[in-house]
Amino acid sequence: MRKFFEKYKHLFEKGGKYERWYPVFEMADTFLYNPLHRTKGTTHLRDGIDLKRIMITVVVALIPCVLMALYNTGLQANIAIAATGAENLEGWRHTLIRAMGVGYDPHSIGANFFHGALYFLPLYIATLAVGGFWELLFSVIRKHEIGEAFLVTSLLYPLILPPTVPIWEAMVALSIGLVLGKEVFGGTGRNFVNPALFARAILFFSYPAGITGDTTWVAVDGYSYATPLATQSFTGHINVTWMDAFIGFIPGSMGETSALACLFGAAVLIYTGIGSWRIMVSSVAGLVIITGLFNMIGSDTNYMFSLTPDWHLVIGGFAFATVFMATDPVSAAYTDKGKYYYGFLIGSMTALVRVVNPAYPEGAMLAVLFANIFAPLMDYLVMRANIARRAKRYAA
Amino acid sequence: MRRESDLRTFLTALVLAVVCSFFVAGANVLLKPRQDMNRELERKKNILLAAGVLKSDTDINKAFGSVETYLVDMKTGKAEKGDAGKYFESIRRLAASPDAVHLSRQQDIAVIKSIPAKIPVFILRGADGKISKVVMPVYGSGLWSTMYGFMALNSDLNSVSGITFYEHGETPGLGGEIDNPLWKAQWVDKKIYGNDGSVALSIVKGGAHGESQVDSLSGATMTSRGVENTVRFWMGQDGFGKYLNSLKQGGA
Amino acid sequence: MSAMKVFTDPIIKNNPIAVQVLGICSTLAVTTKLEVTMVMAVSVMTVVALSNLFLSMMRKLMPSSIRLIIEMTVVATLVIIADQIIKAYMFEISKQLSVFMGLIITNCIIMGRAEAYAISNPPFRSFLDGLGNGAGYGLVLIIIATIRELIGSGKLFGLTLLPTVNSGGWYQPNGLFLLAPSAFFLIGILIWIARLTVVKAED
Repeated sequence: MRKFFEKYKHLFEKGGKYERWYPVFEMADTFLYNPLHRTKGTTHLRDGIDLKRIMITVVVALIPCVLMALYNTGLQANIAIAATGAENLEGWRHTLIRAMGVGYDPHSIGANFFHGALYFLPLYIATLAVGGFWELLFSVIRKHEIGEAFLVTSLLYPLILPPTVPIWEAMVALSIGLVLGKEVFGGTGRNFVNPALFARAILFFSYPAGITGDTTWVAVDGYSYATPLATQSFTGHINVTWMDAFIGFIPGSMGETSALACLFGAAVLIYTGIGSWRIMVSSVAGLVIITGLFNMIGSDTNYMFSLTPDWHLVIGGFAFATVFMATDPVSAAYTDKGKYYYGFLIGSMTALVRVVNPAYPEGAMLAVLFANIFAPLMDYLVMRANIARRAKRYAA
Repeated sequence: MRRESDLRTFLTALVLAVVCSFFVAGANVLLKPRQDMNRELERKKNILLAAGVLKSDTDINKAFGSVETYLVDMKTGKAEKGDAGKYFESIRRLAASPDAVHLSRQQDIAVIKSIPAKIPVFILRGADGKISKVVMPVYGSGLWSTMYGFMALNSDLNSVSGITFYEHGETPGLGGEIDNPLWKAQWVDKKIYGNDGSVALSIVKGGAHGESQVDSLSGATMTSRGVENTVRFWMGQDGFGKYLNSLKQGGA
Repeated sequence: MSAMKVFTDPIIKNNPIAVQVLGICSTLAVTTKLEVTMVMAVSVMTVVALSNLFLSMMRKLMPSSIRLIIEMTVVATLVIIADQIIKAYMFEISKQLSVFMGLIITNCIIMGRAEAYAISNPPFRSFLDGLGNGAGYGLVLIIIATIRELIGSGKLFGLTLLPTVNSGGWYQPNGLFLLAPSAFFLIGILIWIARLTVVKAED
């Protein structure tokens, strides 16, 4: 295999027959073997570690979330089917389930995984194709190597979508998100917002009917389920137990339901030094402090005021956003102090949107994007303050 | 006179101001009647639209000729023949004036705080002189804005003849779909009141069935709730409920 | 520069929005429907051409200390008259243009052309310059409105081309294109294209 790559390498190098396709060759080569050289460019300036290693670690950290996405999506669908009956189910997924004889038993782990995979995998494959297409196109135009960042983006993106999202809508939004959120700024490492989140936001504003509303969260046609955040805000009662919300056995965006899986991811990211603990800690602190304040103020017209911080941490997309989205090294703040401010802004904005804004029950996604935009400003202010302090010290 | 002298600067400004104000005032005076007529026509069109009698070739002024306007006293529900006058241009001011009806928290389900003391309603009569439609102006808070519209009932004073909103600022494509004719068509012939006489109409998510349910707008929960609350308020006892009761008992 | 060039230059080569990056604000607000956009474009074109004409005629009479105030007054008068006319004769459209018609006063293109061109050039040329800039502005507006109305609601000039799901058709409209940020993205892309083609060709 190694010899195979060596043998044909010259064809792809400058002046070779397939010079234009060097990026493709390079991708296949370095994906299987160690890269021949270290990363160059702005992404690299921030850390000595190879970009590729970062991306692989993030993927490893995401494994529990992906497993939960597969299992829980199937579990919730099967529970719903057990309640409503399986007679009227149509579509290729159900044909396949029947053909394989898997069934819809919510107690069968295999059946749950299988059913969940039928929703997660097509979406994942579609986002991989879209992500890969744009990365390939721009790497050929710009003559740079194919970055692996798109693999992470393409994995994060389906995890933050509800299972019933129409695949073509997800693909359109991802295309707009990748081109406008990343490629126009120069590609990987130069984007100032997280591309997966940006694409999610584009999808949210483009096709709100397909991604919000009570029928989107369980992968059964027309099955209506209101998320805990929605029930709390309309009725003042939560429809799940805290433990279920923590472990993630509730309907929701596929990879976001489990705070436990996110905790595992957080441990991996902090241990390897890739995800900043400063951001995670200050983000949690922001959410706890602001929702605690709302608890103390209280309100007799807005039920969200009374939701306690421990609930806020485990429901909605906050845990996932804090661990995997907020800590994206490219779009987060870079200075240590800046990271505290940045994280706190995310936590407190999430609380504000959830509690005070009438239109959106969940605000973690918008909070991270909002903080992304302010991250460079925070770094700038922190550095200015540093310079001023030093100037003072030396003047004395 | 030098070009930059104070006197000259002053004179130039004066002449310019006079000339410009002449043109602005002239345009205003000349075009005002036409603008008022436009607004009037728009209003009549919406009233006829809610009543369900507007067709593409309807001569609006002619069709509106037989419409009777009554002013309803919102405290007592009593009505007398009158003129809408400037009501529609000044809803906000009238609702804030001293004689307006203030709503308590329990009453104020449409989130509008207070309503004008007198509100015009429009009545269409059939050939036999009996009431065929009652058109009432309604308004209430949606997600982003106050939605203004008309609600029309049939002669039984229970089933909906039509609903239309002429001014709102809801999200285009979502809440803004309250303008969608297909959605508005759903309302026709729905019953406002249940057997016990209270407002039974509700907007439900997916699969509206029964004679008092309307499907909500997909992806626009808050706007749908706003419309529901608006209808519940205005059709209830604090809105036009008293007036409609007196109509049922055979009043004008 | 020939008189013809004074008119044609700002339409593409020196387009006020895509190249000079002026007058973005109204582009965001009034480009969801092509019909409304056309009215806006024609209004701006008329106002900028006439304000250029009048200010150029007065350029030798104006004391420089109150120059800007005079420009403002003339532009404001023209805008108010245009607004009144539209309210009287195109009521439906004026409802949708709402405050943005009046906000033409603050459109940078108009004051910008008055300051940059009209006060130092003869009336006829100033008039042409105004027409050209108005046309350039209108061109960009129309391009953006075409894209937004088609993708956002499946219509052009209010006529349904792609029947939407909500009205019983098959097309799922993209709601983003009905919101102001989409115009930002589209202008950005237009400026990008302009930089790649028109401006580059000149360098």
